[in-house]
Amino acid sequence: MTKPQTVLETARYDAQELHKKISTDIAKAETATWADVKAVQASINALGQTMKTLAADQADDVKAGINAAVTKLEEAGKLVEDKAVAAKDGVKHANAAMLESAHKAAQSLSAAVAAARTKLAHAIEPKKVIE
Amino acid sequence: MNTYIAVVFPSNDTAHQALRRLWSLDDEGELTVHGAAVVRRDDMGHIQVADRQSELGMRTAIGVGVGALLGLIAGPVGVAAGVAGAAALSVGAATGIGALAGGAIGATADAVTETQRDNAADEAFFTIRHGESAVVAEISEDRISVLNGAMNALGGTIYRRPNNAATNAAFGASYYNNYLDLPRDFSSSYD
Repeated sequence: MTKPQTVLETARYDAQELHKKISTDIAKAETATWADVKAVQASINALGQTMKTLAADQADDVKAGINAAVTKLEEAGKLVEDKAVAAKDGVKHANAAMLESAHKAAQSLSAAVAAARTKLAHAIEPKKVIE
Repeated sequence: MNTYIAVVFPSNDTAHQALRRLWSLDDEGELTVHGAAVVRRDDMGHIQVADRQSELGMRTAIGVGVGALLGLIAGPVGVAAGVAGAAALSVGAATGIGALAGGAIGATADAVTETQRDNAADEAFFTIRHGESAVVAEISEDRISVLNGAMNALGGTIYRRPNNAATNAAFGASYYNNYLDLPRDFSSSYD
């Protein structure tokens, strides 16, 4: 693929890559550990911060989607190991929450990218000449 | 405009080529792909979604809106209605998918001729015959000519449905549940 061109596209790409990473971790569920979770949480928190900044410039409907995704990211980013449950179950729960948050992030950023492209398309489309 | 598309091809290889082309159009900023997958209807009439690991594979290969639809088509992802849909889909030479009547997705028509196929498509989201494959995706497009040009060049038949409340209601209550984005997986495995 080509490199993302805008900050929005870069953020969307990051969210998609994050989703892929979490999916991989889930696929190796038997061997995934809390160290894996913590590594992904760092990326999740970074993405959440980026999205907070991006949200400010978006239209209301897009902004609402991004803010909802940020909330999910923050929740997933704060999960800590619960010693009362089996480690494997804890990791599984954390991965599921992170996967959902990455999904919502990718979804909302995809909507933002589409809105930005539509805005650009309208800006550069040929204007009708009124005689 | 946010739209569900299905582009049907006679060959599986061409469908995967089309999936890559779809994503390259996204890379070029010509349209935005929110999620996409390839489905194949085998010679026995069963619908399969290209993925490596059943439910997880589907989650990682498909998009948001199309997820529930594909789950209903292919069945084995735990959507109850999908089991019935998959069973029904194994009958007939062509099948309409994504019926908007009755609030459920499933087979609505079997068609043999192109005319019958078109009629079936009026009532369903799209039709796919034995041995055919389709790219199913959720996209945003400002000019339909972009997708039309790219997919027609590959010999695909394009079906569109607007992503609106009526369509999503027809797709069912599980529309957004559990289906996740990872659109850059070009895996062609059906195992």
